[in-house]
Amino acid sequence: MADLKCFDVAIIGAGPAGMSAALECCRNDLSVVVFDEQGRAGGQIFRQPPPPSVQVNSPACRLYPFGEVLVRKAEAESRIDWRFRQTVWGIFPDEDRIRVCTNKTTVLARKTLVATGAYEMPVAFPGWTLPGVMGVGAIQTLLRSQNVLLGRRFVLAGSHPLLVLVADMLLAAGAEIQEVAIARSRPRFREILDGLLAVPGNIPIFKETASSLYKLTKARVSIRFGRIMVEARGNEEGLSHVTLSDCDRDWIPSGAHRVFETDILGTGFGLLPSTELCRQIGCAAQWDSRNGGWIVKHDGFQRTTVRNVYVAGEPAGIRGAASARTEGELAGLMILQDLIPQRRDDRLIRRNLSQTKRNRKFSDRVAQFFQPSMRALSDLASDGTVICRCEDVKRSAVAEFLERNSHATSINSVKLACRTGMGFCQGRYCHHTLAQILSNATNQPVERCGEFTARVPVKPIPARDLSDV
Amino acid sequence: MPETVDCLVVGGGLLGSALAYYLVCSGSTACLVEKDQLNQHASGRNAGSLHFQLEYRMIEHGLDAAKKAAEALPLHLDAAREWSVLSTRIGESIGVLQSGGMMLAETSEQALLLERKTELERSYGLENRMLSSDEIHQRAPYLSSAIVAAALCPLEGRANPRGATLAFATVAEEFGARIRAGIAVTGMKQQRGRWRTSLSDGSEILARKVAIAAGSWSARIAAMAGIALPVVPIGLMMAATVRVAPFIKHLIQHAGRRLSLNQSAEGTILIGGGWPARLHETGGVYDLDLPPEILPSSIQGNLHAAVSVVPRVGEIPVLRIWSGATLLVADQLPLVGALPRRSDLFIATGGSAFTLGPTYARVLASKILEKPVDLDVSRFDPGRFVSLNNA
Repeated sequence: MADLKCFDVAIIGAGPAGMSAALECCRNDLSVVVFDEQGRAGGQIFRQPPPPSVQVNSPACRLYPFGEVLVRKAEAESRIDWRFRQTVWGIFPDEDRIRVCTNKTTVLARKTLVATGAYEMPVAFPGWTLPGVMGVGAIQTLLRSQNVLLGRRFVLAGSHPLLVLVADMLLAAGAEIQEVAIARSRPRFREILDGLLAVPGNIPIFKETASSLYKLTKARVSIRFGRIMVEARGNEEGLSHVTLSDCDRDWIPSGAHRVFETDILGTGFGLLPSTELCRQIGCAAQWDSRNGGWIVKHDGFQRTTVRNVYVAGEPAGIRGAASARTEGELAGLMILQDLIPQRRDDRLIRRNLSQTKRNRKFSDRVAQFFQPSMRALSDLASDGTVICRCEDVKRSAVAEFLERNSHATSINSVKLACRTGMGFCQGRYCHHTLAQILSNATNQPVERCGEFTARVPVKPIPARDLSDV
Repeated sequence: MPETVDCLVVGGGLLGSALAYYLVCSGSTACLVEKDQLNQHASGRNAGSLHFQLEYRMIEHGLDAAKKAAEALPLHLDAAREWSVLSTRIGESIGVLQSGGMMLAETSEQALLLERKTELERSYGLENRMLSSDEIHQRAPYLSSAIVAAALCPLEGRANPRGATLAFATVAEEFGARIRAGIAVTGMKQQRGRWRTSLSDGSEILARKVAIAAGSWSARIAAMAGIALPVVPIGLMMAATVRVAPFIKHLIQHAGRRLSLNQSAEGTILIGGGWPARLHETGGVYDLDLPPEILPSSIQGNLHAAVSVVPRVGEIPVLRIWSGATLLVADQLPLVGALPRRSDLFIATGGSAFTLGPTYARVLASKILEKPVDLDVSRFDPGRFVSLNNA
């Protein structure tokens, strides 16, 4: 394991946070390596057409005009050592540095920034594992990067604004949108007013959303508030029917059901932070129900509780691309200052902090407006519903275990005994559902149930690739 | 009024849960307290291997050291019988499969060591024999062609470490044991022939007898009673792959490398064998409340050993690697019985504590209940370290 290449900074994730930090560090002549699983910079939000394409083109750049500038700048910066299509599976303290291990290589870095973004929150309800039931983000990604339209007829259900944008995109691609069901009740005047007050500086987002809504309305797409999916039916060939139900203010299904014969059900209830690399090395997490649940704790300057490890963007709280960018910049500034104290730039840091504050004002409003009712979502799963799809564990199996083992109050105990979260997705699919079920059964707040312990490798890696670290 | 019981069991792992079961089955009252969750630590973190042959760590320092370690073989022989009947006895499935275990050699030196070791084990009555090279690859075609010799112990195999502890706890609870998780023992003192034990929730328990079943935390509990234990905690790592169709029938160990490997009933391949994880230290003292730090060098070493011995493992994705802590006794032999100068304070620990857990529990229960013990455990008496605890 001799002679590993050593960098000043290793950045994991080439989305808005990672790109901003990389540019900031590079601008100050630090040596920078950036790892990302995709083929190009951009992250999930500014996902670019895969190489060999060099086009810079992402619909999200209309929402966040800085995105295009950022991607262009990043791609032009040849001093950054870009390592695409690599999976970082673990980071480890190594004396006064961090050892960063990927499926292809190992490097050392004096400082490491985790900017690993977020993933879609899956929701377990009867039929959710059928082919044809998927996240709206996945539908969008397939359409955008692979030009694949998965079916002809779509039903979209959820609570996240992405729902409307994806519906618009699908419409433009020639799909039939049978319904967009939004679980929350129709917003009251006061909430709309609050939302508008948060607008300054975020006009493109409102403009785009409004324009999408306009196009959907013009195409006579049914957009319903207070409605949620309760069942999907079909066979291994795919989905055939989706049942939507009216729901009350707490998203509890009550009242009329409506059945759609359809090809694809897209769900969009928000994002969960990818915190596993931070947690695996021992960074403290904190509970924040509004911004994604368990997020990585930092000191307000993006430093985690583990020496030499920084965090920026969604893992530090789901706040969107604009916050990710400023947090990335701040992480870059702090890394510079921590490596070379005389290069400390208070003016830039202050400016960044006030921008961060403005971003938060907006993202907090958005979060409040679209916050999913986790309890209602977990109750969509019936006894016979599989909640851990990797290990095929039904809700009833968990209920039976809890019934017989009243001493079990931690989500990790349930995992160990029932295998929920032990499979290929490493718990990403079932964590929040299981936590809610446990919370209900044990009558304790969901944060008391804890979170699955994150283990290396944070993605499945063939044993051979781990045997020569 | 503090709760009064015949016996307080400290620790909710395999030993504590099984002990609570044996105690309540004999009509005693027992309370088990666990500072975290049941089965959270070593009992639920090991691979569930039932190994009765001497392990690599016992033979790596030569035959004399092996002879010393072999003194514990009567416990292993007992455990081999015990595991085979446990499911029936308690009426719960604990996933025992005794399909044989092989210890492998890749060099002629290792083969020679294996032969000597096998002779030693047979002298204690353990069924174990050397296999010819042809026979090895016939029985275990998944092994690398570099394997030149192997010792086969037909009684070896595995149990389900995710379920065994909870099975005992469930039945113990049905028989009246009181189980309290999330509550730590914070102090204990003797008072009119009883142990007055204070707990982290502010309550107290008065117990005639106390059993320390606290695994790597044993020394902490013993110290509360003023007793020093000759034990050292060690951190270890384990890896698990995704589930694959069964192809590894045996428990696999190695005579010249740190490697232990088995495939669980679910199809997961569990890989371990004694690779170190670093215990955290706070102010120069081991901090057992933090999980030991996983070392990249151990990941590399352990998986390299696994892939060399079972080449197909190389292609199989690893899903998780974790660490845990266990305890070794200064002279490498277990501690089983009453502590010196504290005839109503009991302990069992040291060595292969998952494999030996049910045996430890049965023996300790007999001692606590003052019944004749059906196994000679005098050489494991904690009293051998009385000099550490002179008044």
